[in-house]
Amino acid sequence: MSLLGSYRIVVASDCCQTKPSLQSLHHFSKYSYTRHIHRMSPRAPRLHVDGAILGYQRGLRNQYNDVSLIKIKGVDSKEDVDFYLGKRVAFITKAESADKYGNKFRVNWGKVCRAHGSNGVVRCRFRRNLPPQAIGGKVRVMLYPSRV
Amino acid sequence: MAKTPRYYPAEDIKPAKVVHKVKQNPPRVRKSITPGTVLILLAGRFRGKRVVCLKALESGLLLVSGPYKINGVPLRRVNQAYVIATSTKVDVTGVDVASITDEYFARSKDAPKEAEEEFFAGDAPKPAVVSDQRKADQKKVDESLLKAVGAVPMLEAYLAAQFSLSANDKPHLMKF
Repeated sequence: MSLLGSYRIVVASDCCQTKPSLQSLHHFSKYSYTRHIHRMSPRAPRLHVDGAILGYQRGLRNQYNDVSLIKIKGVDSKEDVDFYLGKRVAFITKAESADKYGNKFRVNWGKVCRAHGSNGVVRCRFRRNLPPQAIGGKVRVMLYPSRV
Repeated sequence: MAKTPRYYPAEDIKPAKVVHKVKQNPPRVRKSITPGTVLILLAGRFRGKRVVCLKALESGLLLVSGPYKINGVPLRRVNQAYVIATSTKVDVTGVDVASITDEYFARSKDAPKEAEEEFFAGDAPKPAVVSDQRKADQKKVDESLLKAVGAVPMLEAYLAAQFSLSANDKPHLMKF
């Protein structure tokens, strides 16, 4: 397996961190450096989009807990929502006890059902309704099932 | 009116039920996925890897290969729903995958017996044992596949690179 792990060049005044391109990697290896070159194993990829839990579907005085409203990052109009329809949504919590694989993270799966309004907010249904303390919390909108 | 015949069976004979033969349609695959398309795997063990689609199997799953030397993805079946098809295509007309079907990937019948022994033995998961046949087939397929990949500039590095979303990336605006 070719080792195309990314190399992070750590500099004291490194404020803007750019991923070195393939060409720049070859360039750096030719010159001697006083800086550290930390080799990083390729990080786990991010294959989801973050979403914020806004609350439940509701009128002013009644709320319907089966449907939650989610604001997907970067999605600001009804047209943009079309890509996300049907995508699975994960509400992840950390538990004290591990499951049989040693995993302490628990997931409540849901899916994006439809747009809510015209500004990119989305209605989601979960296997178990979201707990109210989750309002304001994060949710992961996965990229599957993919229709691309 | 017809006269009832003189001889008729004592019990009523029910007419045979009409059995509708199940018609198996060819697997429905998205238009964007053709043999040779580079796919991005979205879930599973190899999530984030870019991989070459070799063909659509009878079951509707896609047969895929890294190639193994490039990114560690072996000959594998993958569900369309968990895949993004990019517009990058490789010419895989020279790659022979006709012998690889769904039966190739069927679990061996020995598995349930082994599971019982495992249950009594311990919790540590056994490392996967790759059969020699798989290794041989992988080598055979990848030989021609690597040639096809090598023919396209930068494609090998592209397949080795991982796909990941970074800040400010909007998948709904990305052109794959």
